[in-house]
Amino acid sequence: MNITANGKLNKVTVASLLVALGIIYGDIGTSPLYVYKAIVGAREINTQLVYGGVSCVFWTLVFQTTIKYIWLTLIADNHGEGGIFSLFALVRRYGKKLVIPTILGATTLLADGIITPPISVSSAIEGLSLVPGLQTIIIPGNILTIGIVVAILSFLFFFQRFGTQFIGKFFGPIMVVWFTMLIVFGCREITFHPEILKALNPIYAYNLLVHYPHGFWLLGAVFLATTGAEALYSDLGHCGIKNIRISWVFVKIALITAYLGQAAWLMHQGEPLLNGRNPFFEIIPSWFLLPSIIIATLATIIASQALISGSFTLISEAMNLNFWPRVTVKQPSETKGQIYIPSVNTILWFGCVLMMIYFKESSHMEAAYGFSITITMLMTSVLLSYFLYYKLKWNKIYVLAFLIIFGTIEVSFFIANVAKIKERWMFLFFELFIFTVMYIWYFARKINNRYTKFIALGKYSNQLVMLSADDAIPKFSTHLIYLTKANTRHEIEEKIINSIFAKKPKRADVYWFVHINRTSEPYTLNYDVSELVDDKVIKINLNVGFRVQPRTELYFKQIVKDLVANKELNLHIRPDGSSKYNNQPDFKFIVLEKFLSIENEFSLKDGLLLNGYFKLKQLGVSDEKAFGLEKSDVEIEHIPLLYQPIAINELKREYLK
Amino acid sequence: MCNTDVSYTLYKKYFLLATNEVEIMLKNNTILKGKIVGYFKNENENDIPFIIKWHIAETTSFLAIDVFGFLQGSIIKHSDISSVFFYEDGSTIKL
Repeated sequence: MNITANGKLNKVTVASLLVALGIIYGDIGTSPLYVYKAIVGAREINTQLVYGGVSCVFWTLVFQTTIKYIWLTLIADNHGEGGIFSLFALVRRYGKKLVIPTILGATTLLADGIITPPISVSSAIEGLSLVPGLQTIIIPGNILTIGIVVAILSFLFFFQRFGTQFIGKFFGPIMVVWFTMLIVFGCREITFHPEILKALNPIYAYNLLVHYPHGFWLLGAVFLATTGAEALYSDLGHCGIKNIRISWVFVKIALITAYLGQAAWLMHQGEPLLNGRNPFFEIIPSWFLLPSIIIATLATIIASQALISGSFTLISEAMNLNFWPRVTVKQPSETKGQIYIPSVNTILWFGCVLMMIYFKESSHMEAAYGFSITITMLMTSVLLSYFLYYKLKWNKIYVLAFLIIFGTIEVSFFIANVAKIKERWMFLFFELFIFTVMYIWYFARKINNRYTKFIALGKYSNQLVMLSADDAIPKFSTHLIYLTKANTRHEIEEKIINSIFAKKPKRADVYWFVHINRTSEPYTLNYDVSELVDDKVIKINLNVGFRVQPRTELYFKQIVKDLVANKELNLHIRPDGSSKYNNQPDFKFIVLEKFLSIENEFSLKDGLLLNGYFKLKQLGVSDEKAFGLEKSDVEIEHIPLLYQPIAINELKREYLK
Repeated sequence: MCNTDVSYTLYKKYFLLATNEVEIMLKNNTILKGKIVGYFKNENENDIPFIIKWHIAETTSFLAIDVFGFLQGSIIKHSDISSVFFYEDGSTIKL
């Protein structure tokens, strides 16, 4: 059986293709709802605009989606996983500065999460305004329409806590119905104006961009056809490369047919202006309008769901790669890899509702949508070029050619989308917030590590043995466990030794030092044990992949169980004699929480970063929760981050006369 | 730890010796006597750690912190060290 590292089947079956359709194509698959409406807008409908528009969309799907993402980016899998953080984990060693494009890419990808759900759902709901009897009730931008969209989105966000284990089974079949609908009604329109097929010639795209008045700026609308391409890569781990590539053939045919169909309708409908009509709903026969709106709404809900799940995964990876403060992560169902992050859910819900209330209708959102994603794509290209050069050993010329071709395309899209900034200024605050959090967390943690003093554990072994045997000191616990950042078996942080010796000494039968090493591979879970003093001083190195939630207590108990079973460890009886009533081992975890001491003199940058870091830390979950020690016997010790104490030579005693 | 980095040589020696009693000559010709009690790490562009500072204190000191929590001894930059003489085996490392 062909199984990827994360346990997912990598073979192609009808079921696996359905899963792929239901997970990854929601965003890109619902683009036909608004792309052509955005391209034409209030412009006069003519051959140059219509043919050029569909040609641009077609070649964007060929270059940006098929070649860049389906063909090239999917190769960059990290043990079966994709996405910007997985790519970063693969190439981080090849460039220190790569952290900036990674933060930028992730920031803009998250920012995208607060506009994709409202634009998709409102585009579908606004279609109700065409249904006879509803024309005067559903008007894009009125309170009822906004209310329906807000209600659907709120419902969607509310149900995240229950997971998608049951409802997710319907996503694939619904998307099949959606794409089939695109093919059927697209083909129908093409038969009315078959000449539209000529638009696949790139000359039409060239003419639009070069000769049409302000044609270049239409790229901002054309780009909407490829938003969601990043999801093909982000969800690589859920579906597998073969399933994505095969299902893309069907999706691409459906999308191109839908765009050609809308273009064909524009050519034969006879009116010079669009006048607020949506070409997507205009190609649907009136008898099928209501079912099509229901299908479209379901498809947009699936698109929104994919984006929300993607955001949870992104933040989870960000936490594990030290880009984001530790926040509560829940497992809403038994499905492996499915997570729910309440804080992210609330932020996204609030952002989506705010977007809907601010923009009121989809056409206003079209004018703001796309800018973030151009940056994500550019950043992915930067990281991918490192992957192609260093990992795949591509010739420098080929990598350069890749950068020139896709850099030109993406920079062009970026420039065309820059015009949208004035419509989306409020996003900048959201993006700045995410970027700042990631930047502070990543770099302040590095400074924090720089101010951590290490010592040789071996130098204190004798004292630990002496303390353990000293009956004059009351026993603190039989097993005393510290979490350590020291990644080699011989070293340890000085603060841990201070905690054991400097204050009231902590006597224990066994001293454990557990290091959690977050690996660049997504699903690693193994450990090694070093007994520095037999049965007395033990260091454990736990290797945990960046997609695995750390459950330190669980892992620790399993390790101890293994050691006892192998007769490598004596569990020791509890000192108070209570072992005869309850023989559970007496484990006590000590978590050392740093705080920023005022007795420091930092540079301005370090001081700002560290202050920000400790403020953010207060907002996140506690260390014991973060390390999965909630149910354990945990004692928290607060210690100052103190590295360069302020010199107090100026403090002089004055003697009283 | 990057084994091509010069700090790695001193790091290895620190772990090998039992007493750590040393005489450190700084580039400004200052001589410090005592024992190495700890070190601080940084990471290079490949995220590989190297030592940036060493903590040296009196040989009699246990944790190099006095009863009031004040740091004992000196923290010196690795780049300021000219050479380190080890009393235990009589060897010298020039940096």
